[in-house]
Amino acid sequence: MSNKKSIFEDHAITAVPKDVRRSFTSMFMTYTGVIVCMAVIWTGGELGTGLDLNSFLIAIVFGSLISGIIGLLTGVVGGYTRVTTYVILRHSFGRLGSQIAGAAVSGIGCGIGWFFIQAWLFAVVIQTISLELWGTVPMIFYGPVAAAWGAALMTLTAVLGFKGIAFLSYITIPLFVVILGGGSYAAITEAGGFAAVPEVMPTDPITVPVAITAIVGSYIAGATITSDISRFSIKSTHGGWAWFWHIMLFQPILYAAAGLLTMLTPGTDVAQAMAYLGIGVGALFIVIMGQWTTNDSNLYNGALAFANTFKLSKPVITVIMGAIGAVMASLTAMGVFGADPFMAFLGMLGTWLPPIAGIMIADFYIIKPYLHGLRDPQKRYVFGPGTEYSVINWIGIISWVAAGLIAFFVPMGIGALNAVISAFVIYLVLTFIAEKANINYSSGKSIESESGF
Amino acid sequence: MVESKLDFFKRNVPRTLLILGVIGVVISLLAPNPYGRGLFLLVSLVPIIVGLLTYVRLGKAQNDDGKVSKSIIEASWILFTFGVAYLVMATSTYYHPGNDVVHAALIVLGIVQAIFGAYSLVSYGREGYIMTP
Repeated sequence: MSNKKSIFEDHAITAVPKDVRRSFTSMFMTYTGVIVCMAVIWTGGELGTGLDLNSFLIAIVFGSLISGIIGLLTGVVGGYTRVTTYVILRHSFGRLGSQIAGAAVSGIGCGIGWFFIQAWLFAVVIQTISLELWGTVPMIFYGPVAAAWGAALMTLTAVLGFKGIAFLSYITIPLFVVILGGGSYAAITEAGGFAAVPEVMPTDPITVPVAITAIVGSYIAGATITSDISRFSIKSTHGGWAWFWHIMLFQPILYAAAGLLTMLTPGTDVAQAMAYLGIGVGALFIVIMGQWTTNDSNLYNGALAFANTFKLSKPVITVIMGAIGAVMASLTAMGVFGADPFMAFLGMLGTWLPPIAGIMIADFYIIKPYLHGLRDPQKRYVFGPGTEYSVINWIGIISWVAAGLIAFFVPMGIGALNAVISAFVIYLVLTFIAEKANINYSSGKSIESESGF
Repeated sequence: MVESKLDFFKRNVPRTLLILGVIGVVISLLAPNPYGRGLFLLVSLVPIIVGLLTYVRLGKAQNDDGKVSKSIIEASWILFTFGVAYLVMATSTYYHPGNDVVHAALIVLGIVQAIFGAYSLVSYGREGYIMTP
């Protein structure tokens, strides 16, 4: 229970030791803190204006189930291996492959790209709400200033690592339940009671498949990298199940609360709806804390990916990335450049994150136990000083690129799910063929050093 | 000396949850606005339930330091966050209690609750306990 080690120690490239592992509750709270972000709340709000109640509920259940199962499977891998997603990839992508894939999609994508976009979005919403609340924008809530201090706050908890993110989630989650619960109840009573809810017709109708795609797409990145958190769970499977239950229980509540707020009030987004209902301070709180709990996680995941790529300590990487993000968010808020081109690039880059989940699942649950005979999940992967990895696992790289291209160019179905399934199938088939035909599909040799690098 | 400080929280955190929860219920019932009354009643009931559960958990934990501290730290989080919940929700116009005295009482209650919860958490944190067990 006692922990007197450095507060920055976060086991970025080594296995999480027993004395810092956490309970199911801690896992559940941390995941829940990450999911409560403006993007998810806004998606819920858009679904509220696009679907009737029945379609809304169907979309939430199916969308949550897909994200829940993918995250459960990847989270359990982290629970057994005790290392981050990027370190796990050293086996299925090779050492260099894991460095490239991790740095490209998580390091650049989440840690720099989405971090600065979310910090900028945070500033924009703060400025809008303070204008609605007070009729003027105090200096501290002025866009470029808010972007800078917002990014600094997010960097602070990301530097502390898991314990910082978990700490913030413990503060935030109970309050979110009260504020969003209070907000949706207010919306329902203002609309004429619970009987009025099924009668509300969508103003911008969308279909159920489109809604499911939006739900899965809004959080597939999180489902792919669940291991970054689940590696801290006391019991190997608890992290994965914490992910599953937080998605099945909390995501629907979040979507429903956001949906009800926009469905039943004239507000077109959640912040406007809450301001309309006279819960402006609650809306401000949701924006600040919601963005903070999510964006520190973006930075954290990016820093973990870069810690596997560059021989630098995770806190140093986090501060550098946080500073870059703060400057870019402030410049965007000042109008020096627009966010749209970056968002288009990040959206394209994001296509290559879900295939990683498919490859991890295929390798850990099928290839290792059934092709390599490693039935004991604790022994499927070996990590630690002296461990030998290939430099590149070509099948991992080919499956990753091919699945990303399929998700990018095939317009049917749910793009993110297409990416996961196609990566899973391609990796399985190619590995099976290569092993049966005795084809060597890896190049080079890399040995893990004492530091875990 | 250190032992007695943590013993103080072990003894008083569940007790404070119950006492402040009951005070919260009484104050909430005095709120003229039915929406505010309902919301603050719910917010007050949570500490009471958690306080009772903490007594049960402490009874089961016996002298297991890990389990005892986990129960007290989690109860302290409820004390802190639900204290802040009074403060955040009392500022909304929709859930305003409808009476300035009740409003002020709820804010004072929230501040006391949040400070005591935070003090307990900081004290455990200073002794090296994991604050998010």
